[in-house]
Amino acid sequence: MSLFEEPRHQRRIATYLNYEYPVAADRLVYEQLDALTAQLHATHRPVHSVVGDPMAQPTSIRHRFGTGLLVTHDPEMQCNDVEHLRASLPDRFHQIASELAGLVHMSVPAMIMQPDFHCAGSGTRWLRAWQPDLIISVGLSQFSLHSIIASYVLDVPRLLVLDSIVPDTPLLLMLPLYVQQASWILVAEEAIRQDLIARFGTGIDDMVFVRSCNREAPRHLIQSIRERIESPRTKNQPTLGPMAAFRTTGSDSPAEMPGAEEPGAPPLLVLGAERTGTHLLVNMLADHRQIWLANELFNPRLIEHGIMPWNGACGVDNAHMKGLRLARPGEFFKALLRDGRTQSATYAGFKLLYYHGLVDDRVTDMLLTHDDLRVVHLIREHHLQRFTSHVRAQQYDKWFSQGHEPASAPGQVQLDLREMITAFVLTAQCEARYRAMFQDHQVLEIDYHELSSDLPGTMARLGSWLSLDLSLLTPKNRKTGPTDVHTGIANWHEVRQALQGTRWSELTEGSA
Amino acid sequence: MSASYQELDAPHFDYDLQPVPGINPHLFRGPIPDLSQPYMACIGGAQSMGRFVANPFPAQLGTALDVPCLNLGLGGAGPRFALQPAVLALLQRAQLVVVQVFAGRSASNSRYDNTVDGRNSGRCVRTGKTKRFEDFLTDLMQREDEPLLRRTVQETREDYAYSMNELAGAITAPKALLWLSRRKPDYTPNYDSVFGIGSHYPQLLDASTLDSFRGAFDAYAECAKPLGVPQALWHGDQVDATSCDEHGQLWNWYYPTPQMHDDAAAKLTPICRELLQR
Repeated sequence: MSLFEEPRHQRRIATYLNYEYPVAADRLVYEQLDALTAQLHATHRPVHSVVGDPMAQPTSIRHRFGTGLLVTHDPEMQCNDVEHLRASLPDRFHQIASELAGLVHMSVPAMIMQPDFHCAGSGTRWLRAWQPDLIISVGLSQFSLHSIIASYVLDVPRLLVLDSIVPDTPLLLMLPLYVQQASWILVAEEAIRQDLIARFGTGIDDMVFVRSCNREAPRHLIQSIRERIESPRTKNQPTLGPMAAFRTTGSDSPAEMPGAEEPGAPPLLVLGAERTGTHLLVNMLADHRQIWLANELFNPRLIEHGIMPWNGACGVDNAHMKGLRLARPGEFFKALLRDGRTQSATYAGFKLLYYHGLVDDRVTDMLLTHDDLRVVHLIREHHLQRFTSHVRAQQYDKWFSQGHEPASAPGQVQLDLREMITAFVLTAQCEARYRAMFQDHQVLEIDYHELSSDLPGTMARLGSWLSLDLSLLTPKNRKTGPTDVHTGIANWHEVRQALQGTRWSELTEGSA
Repeated sequence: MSASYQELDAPHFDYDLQPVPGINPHLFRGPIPDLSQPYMACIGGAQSMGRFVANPFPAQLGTALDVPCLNLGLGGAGPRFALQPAVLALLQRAQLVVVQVFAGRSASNSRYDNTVDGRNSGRCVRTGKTKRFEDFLTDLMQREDEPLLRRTVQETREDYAYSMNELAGAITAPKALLWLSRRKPDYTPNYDSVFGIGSHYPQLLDASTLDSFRGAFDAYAECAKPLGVPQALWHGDQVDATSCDEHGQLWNWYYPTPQMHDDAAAKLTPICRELLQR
């Protein structure tokens, strides 16, 4: 069950506690949040931007790896996410940016460009897709400040859990915002409640609750939260959900190119993360006379260097097409489809790696406007094999071996354990994101294992789905790494130890 | 920046560049007054520094008012440069401050961060790369539609105005604002080119932005005529911000000419005299 397809019979709670998750130091808070979530008959996911060091975490919290929503550090993705929020929820976005800017004495644009604001914006977008019913922020930390942005922009009620008010923290400046934007405040003791009332007046009296001596949330707080999150207004928010979150505005502005409305070939997309077999498949499919398939057209690095992995578009000026790709991806794609039709292709399209669609919404927006788009989605359930292969390709700068070349000697690689888990989590999130995004399109999902172990069978299945005979296509490249994952990993024992007790522990089973 | 001007313009101009205590690593046009004694300060861009000018308006003002004048003009500076603690401390100790309207491009917006040194170079938020503002704008023009371009320009102006108001609020001494340009504040941008968007110095600033911080200053002087433009320089290889004709004569079309500096000094002198008497 992927992240955004989880059943809605349980309410969803997002928690903001710490940049890093899971970490042993927060174990007691996790338990409190578990208890609170159970009281509300809900499920919860902590939003975080760093994965805890797996070797430093005790067995008791290892099951928590991969249960949060991880916000990427990539500035291009964050920038794209912030633009999405600005475009789709402009009033609420500007209101919260203005309030924050006013509190810290900076201009609104300067506030928006702050790295923390971008991180919060990116998290808000992922959260928007997950459709939380409630947000809980714990303490007055810099990270819990992100929850204010998320709850305000998404209009989701927020419970502030406050066990202490540290007198000399600079974040005290933000206390008014923490309090005023909260729907409820749960404090550890009566003295904190009195402190808040002294600061903000008796008007907040009925929203501040004191935790009972058994550390449970009081029943009337639970009742109040339930009533609110079960109300039609909170339950049925059209601004939440995967399609609201992952689609921004549609596509480019209306066509300006001559002949832009001429029909093109039906669109085809080969989608996947790196090291899932996209290269093998695209090169095979591109050999078919009825398939007009370009490579990584929207790879940001290729765009930056002005490289166009597409030789088509007879008579079309390449510089013009490069400019079009940059300024109007939708028009550019239409040109490719027209080009495909000119070549009498049954399908025309390109390869999209996950990352390429996450840094520029215009690319995925324009794909979503094509109702007849077919998506071949390559996945690799064995996350460890995928990550190892990726690290190896990066380290040796060898992404594939040509068919006529001798198989490269597979060198061993040292895996960074935290990076490894980060990659597992982000890849799963991206998989879920694209699944949700293309849920109304025709999608064929192929696992790398199937592709590598039974290529003829996989091509037959794909051919049947495309109504094309693909039986004569042969691979141009071969695997670059060792078959057995453990032989390629220098710190295999560490990797196995790091994954023990996590949801990925079975990935190391059956190997030495 | 000033040091590179000196390198380019020697031996035709001697800017007498000197360090000012606490403001590293920049050099400023001399003479630097004794800062333990009363002084006035002028702050702005290379226009205040007085590139291609032997007697820039800050020096003329100091002489006319008989108050030593600290010239804090620095190429590429924006309002955030003046808000840096060491710079602001010098402004706060002055008896009188003249703030030349800095270039509008030396500010931040939601996609561009110039907060590190407050000048016309900054971090592109999307890529993390450091670029000059013009290069950032060129990239944006290639990639984005005009509405986003307009929004980004407007944000840059908003950020600029915010900082200028902060600056005015932080200077307790009497303060005058100087518009020194070959154009009037009002202009209509053309979003087809970087020059079209920003126009002449102080790039990007328009009348409405100016109006949003002008009232925070005690006085305002406007020098908006291209007096003496173009200014004949010397014969030789072309240097930055000049044009070269077929005879090898270099011309300055960009920086305020000596006549424009004289005009600024003439307009500011009575204003500053009155401010000093308050």
